[in-house]
Amino acid sequence: MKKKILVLILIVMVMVTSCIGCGKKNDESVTSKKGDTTSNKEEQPKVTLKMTHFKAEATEGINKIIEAFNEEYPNIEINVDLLEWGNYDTILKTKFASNEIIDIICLKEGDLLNKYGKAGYLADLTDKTFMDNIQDVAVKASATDGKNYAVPVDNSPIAVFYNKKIFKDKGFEIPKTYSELMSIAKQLKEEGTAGFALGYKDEWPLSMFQSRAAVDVLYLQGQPEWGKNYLDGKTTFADTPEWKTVIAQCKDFYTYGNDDPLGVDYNKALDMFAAGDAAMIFQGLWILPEIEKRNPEFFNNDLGIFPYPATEDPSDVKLEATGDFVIAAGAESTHLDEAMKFLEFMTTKEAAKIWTDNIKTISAVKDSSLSFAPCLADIEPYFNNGQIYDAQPYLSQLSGNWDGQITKYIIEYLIDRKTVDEVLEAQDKFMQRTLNN
Amino acid sequence: MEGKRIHLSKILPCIITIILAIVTIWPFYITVLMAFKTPRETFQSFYGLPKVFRLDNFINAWKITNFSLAFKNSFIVTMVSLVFIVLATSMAGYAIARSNKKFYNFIYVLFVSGMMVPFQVIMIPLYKMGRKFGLVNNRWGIILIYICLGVHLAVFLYTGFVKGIPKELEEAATIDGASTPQIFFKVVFPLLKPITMTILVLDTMWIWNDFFLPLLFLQDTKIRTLPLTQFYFYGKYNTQMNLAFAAFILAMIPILIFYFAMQKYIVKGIVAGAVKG
Amino acid sequence: MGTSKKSSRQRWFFIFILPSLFLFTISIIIPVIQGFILTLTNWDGIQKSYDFVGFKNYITLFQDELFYNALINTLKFTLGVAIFQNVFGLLLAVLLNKSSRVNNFFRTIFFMPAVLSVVLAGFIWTYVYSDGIPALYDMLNLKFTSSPLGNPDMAMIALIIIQLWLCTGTTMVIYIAGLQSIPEDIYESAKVDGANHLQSFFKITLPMLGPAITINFVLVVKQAMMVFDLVFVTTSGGPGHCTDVLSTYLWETTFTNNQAGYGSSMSFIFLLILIIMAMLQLKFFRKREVEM
Repeated sequence: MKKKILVLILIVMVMVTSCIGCGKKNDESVTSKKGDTTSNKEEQPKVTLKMTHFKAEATEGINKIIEAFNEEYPNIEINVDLLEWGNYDTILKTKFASNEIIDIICLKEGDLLNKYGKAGYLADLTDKTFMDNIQDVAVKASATDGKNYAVPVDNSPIAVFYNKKIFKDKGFEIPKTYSELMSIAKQLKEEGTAGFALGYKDEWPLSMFQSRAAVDVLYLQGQPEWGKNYLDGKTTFADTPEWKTVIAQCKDFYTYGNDDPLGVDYNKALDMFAAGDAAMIFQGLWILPEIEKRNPEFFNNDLGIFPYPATEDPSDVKLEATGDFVIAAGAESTHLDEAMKFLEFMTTKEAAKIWTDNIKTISAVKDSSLSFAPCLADIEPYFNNGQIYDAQPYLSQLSGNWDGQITKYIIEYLIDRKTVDEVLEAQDKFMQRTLNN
Repeated sequence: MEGKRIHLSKILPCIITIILAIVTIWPFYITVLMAFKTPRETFQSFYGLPKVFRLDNFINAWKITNFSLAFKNSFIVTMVSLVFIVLATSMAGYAIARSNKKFYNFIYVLFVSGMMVPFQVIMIPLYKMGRKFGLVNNRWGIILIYICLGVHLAVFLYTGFVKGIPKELEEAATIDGASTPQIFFKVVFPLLKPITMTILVLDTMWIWNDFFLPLLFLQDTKIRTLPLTQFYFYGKYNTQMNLAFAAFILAMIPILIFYFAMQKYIVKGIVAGAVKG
Repeated sequence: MGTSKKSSRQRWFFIFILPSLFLFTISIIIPVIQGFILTLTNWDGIQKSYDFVGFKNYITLFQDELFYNALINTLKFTLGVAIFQNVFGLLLAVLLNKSSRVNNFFRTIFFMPAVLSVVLAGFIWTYVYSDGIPALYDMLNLKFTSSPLGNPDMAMIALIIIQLWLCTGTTMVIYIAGLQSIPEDIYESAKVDGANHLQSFFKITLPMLGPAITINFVLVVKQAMMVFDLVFVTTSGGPGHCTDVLSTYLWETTFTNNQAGYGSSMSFIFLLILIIMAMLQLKFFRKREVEM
């Protein structure tokens, strides 16, 4: 019996090791296929860079950019790892905590970028000449404490997308004040169409809304340093009446939006909007490919955009154009030069065009085109007249998960589990706990 | 009166069972149905059967999720882990059950209390350690961790089972001059077949379906296991539910086949292990 | 001769237990120690440096209302699951006890969900709740209002249902095994004494199922207290914090809020709670087993 078992174990081990061996061989053949874009014997040594990103919709576009990059630098191979956004932060953190080296890291502008920049995991790009290829607004907005740790890649205005046909049929004008917007939404809801498509089962659409509303009614209305003041102990959530306004706006959207917003997720909300069951949706430019997929006719003819009018003053209306996707180099990369070459390539017009054609967000590279989606004609004037602002410098004043947390509390208010005061109190308590860490 | 009572006591259980069975099958039914339909057919009639049972969704799902690769990965990780778990824990279970020293009892309690440790407690230290020894993004690393995590339950089951085996056989073998390892491998281990099967079955279901560990440790797309590919696939395609469900079914088929083949052992094994333990 | 045999046996025992002991040490003991050290720090999970803050994390934890919220939710979930999984499991076991083709067929059906990956089950049920049930209501010409997962009052119940769907099969199997270990003659003699079905159930079956009941409760409670995958994949603790359980709040604290040190202390308190619950249960059930 003993012999039989030993033999069995041996067989299994042989099978296993040969399988693993098979796996390895496949890996090698795959890598050699990738590097085989050049048949001539290059003098330069082959370098393999490791890159992580989280934007599933951008995978094809990124691969095309890498292909174009390889035409100029055939010896630099880039292995792309697509990680899931929901766990991206966690996985990155775990990797960094155990000193794993990633050469090129994609992030989102804002808290994520600031965190990793301050922690020293990203290479300093402040003085790199290729940063001049990027729009100044974007470079300034994506800086952390005055230093640039990443190249802004795109710019995704967040505004109200609307259904032009419904507006025309009902005789609506583009609203320039908050009450105009609400009366449109109210009428729509009373007449059977949801005013807004709300996918609040995924918490981030609500989180995005409340933070932008906060920028509009708080920071831009005379308190540009509110976050900093908060950290200095000069103010609290509970003491700031503008937060009550923000929450009230959330409530209005909730009231005039589709039924069961907490049961509908982001994808379903897009379905609703594309099908005309909801007339408006507060989102960013990233929804464009998704809308085109669902309803190309709507995308080409009836899709429009207008900036969110958060106040009663029409002159306040500006387009929020915040940087979204950024790309950085790992500070501890052993191939920093090669990583920088790729970052530089990302700032070229060539890369910008591939990006806008495939991913359909506005490129942060200077002078790149806006013609990839018909609805962008609506917001071009705002760009041309300088009526844009970046929300990031305001949003990133408060660190940590403050926005995720207050969103949860706001949801509790929307379902009548908390009063507005309780929401703000709980938020202050939460901040105490996390900031004093 | 007698006749009526017999009827009721026979019909009521049937009805209850059938109702519960329908509720249990219902999600499966939806899954299978969706996988064969197109979005339009779903829209027209949610519960209706499709006109034609097309395999398109399955073919696409197979390609997109790179099913054969994911399957291979899951298979290797599961099989290898199992072999080592059975080896290490059967020996340990035997030692604990047959030895009278307090030390072994203490270790037993230690192992069993390990079952209580939530994974989050040990996650980061484990990952750090794994990185240090090059075990991350590497099949062997995750296999090692599965073996480690499989120790508690398996030792628990083996110990309980061995205690229930009469010592006469071993004593006879000792008189015949057999050494301890010989006694174990030749006499005891074959007797452990039922509980070994239980452990194989339980641990297969655990490792095969495990999602969180591969999420952390197997980031390289080439070595991802089945649940992981399902997760990423769903994240990307969750508006195309028909396609997603086809992918789910592909993922479910291996484990269901395993289940139908091993059913007897599952029941027999749980009997031996649970009731005795 | 006798002593050397004994000591050689002891030596072998030690060798036998060594691999498992080694694996256990490096995967549980050492990480647990490292994890505990973390609880005394304010590490955020990313920065390379951190400070020691003593037991401050624990003090904060005791004042954390979200922690208590998660604890209560977890207990609610566990209570619901423990009771119903055992009731249904036992019910099905009694109904399907006899070995017959029909019974085997049903047993297979009820156990099937247990074989699935929790993640897949979560996705499937999310869809069942959001589209399957409304379609059903549609057929009956009723209007369906919302997916229970988005409804703060119903979400926990909806989750319990999924857990029951997944795990009752296992409970059933263990009860069947328990039932089959009860000798037939006891029932025979009870019948002779004039006992009916219900009486023999409560006076014979239940007491003799003692060990099976203990095991089922201990396993079910542990599984329910540690639930993570299911909640994570379906509601992530939402809406708001209504379905937040200990594991998901732990995750949120450690990874989303960047408080690895604080999270570590939470995981230890969690561990403590689990151990206490297990000990209490064992005491309670073992006592009853002996009495019976």
